[in-house]
Amino acid sequence: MKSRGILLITFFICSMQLHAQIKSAEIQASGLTCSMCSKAIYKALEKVQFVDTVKVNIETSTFLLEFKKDQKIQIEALRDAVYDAGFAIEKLALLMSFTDKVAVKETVFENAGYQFKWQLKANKPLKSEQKVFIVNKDIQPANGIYLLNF
Amino acid sequence: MQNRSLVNVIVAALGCLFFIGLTRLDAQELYVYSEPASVMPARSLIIKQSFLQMGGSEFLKNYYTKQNFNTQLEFSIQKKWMAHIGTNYKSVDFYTQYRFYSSDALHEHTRFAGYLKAVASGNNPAEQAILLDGQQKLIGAGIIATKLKHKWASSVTLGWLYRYTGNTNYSKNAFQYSWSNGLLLYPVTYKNYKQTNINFYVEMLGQQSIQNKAHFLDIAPAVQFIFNSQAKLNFGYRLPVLDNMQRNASRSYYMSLDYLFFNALPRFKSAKK
Repeated sequence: MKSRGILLITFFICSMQLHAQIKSAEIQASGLTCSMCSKAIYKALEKVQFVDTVKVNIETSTFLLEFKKDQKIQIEALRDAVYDAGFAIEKLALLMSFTDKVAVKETVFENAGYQFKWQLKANKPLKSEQKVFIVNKDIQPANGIYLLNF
Repeated sequence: MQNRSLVNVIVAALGCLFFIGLTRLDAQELYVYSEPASVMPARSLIIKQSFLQMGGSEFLKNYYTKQNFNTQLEFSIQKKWMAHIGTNYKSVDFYTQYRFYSSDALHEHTRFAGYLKAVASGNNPAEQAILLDGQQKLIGAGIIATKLKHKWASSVTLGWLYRYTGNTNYSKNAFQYSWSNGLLLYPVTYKNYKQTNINFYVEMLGQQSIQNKAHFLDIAPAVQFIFNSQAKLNFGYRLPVLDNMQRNASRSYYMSLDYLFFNALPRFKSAKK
């Protein structure tokens, strides 16, 4: 009974960590120059349920997203917001927390409920909070896996 | 002869616009007289009121109306598909556009779209030109290609028109074409969405009757103010460059105001890209 309690607590802590593992995101949108187009993306991202704040640089079409605490981050929802506004994604970066110290190339790992794979030329040291880029074309996972580099 | 020199001036002016666009300014494609291949953001809605003051011909005094007021409701069906429904209070017009190709890069895109247009109107002005602003019962279809590359954008529309009404001596079929260019004049640097944008457009708008071998090619310069990145105020003037078509009004002033509501419509399940 006691061990089940510990298990439950461990599970609870783990799932808390899971939610906290993507801290923020940075999206650079492509295919636009005007502020009306930029505002369409801004409004779409602002409407995404787990997005807390959006800061924009209209000149560079870059959107900085802070997420609400303890909410599941859905990469697809961010991607669809930009595509639904009528544009594409040039870069999508996530600020993720890691317990590992090294990113081992070609390794598949789980984080925030997603499967990721390091798309690196060589192993690289990891920061505890690392900005990583999703490199899949059109941010579409390949066989359910998002490819990452930094 | 006069027409030819005017054509030369226009070609030179468009060349200058391209040069300026390529070297310095941002290009814009929110055209006043035509649609770009891009469609509205998903779930958005636009309410638009336009006013057209026609003139410039001796036929005008007999014309059934010198003005055309049009109220439009424009809405997104899904991210690649939009529709417009409008009325000039004597007719109903419908327009739908589907973007079938899109290639985006940073500050750059190439897009293609197809459109269908239909106007249900009881009016029947006897003139050679097919009128698109709700004056005649017609259908039309065409394709639009829009290119934005760094600081330059341009759009070409090729279409076909068929009218149900009009003098039977006049052609019922026509080719319709346009070439539109736009420049952002202000602001030079974007800081926020509240900055008023000023855009300058030059559009070439042409029509070729299929049976009558008659044609016109108009030039339409226009200025656009965008407020709060959501409301557009357009002013345009249209005049003929080449014209051997009998038209009641070859020159016209145009003014419109529209407001874009983001996320105004419910989310429909749209096809994934």
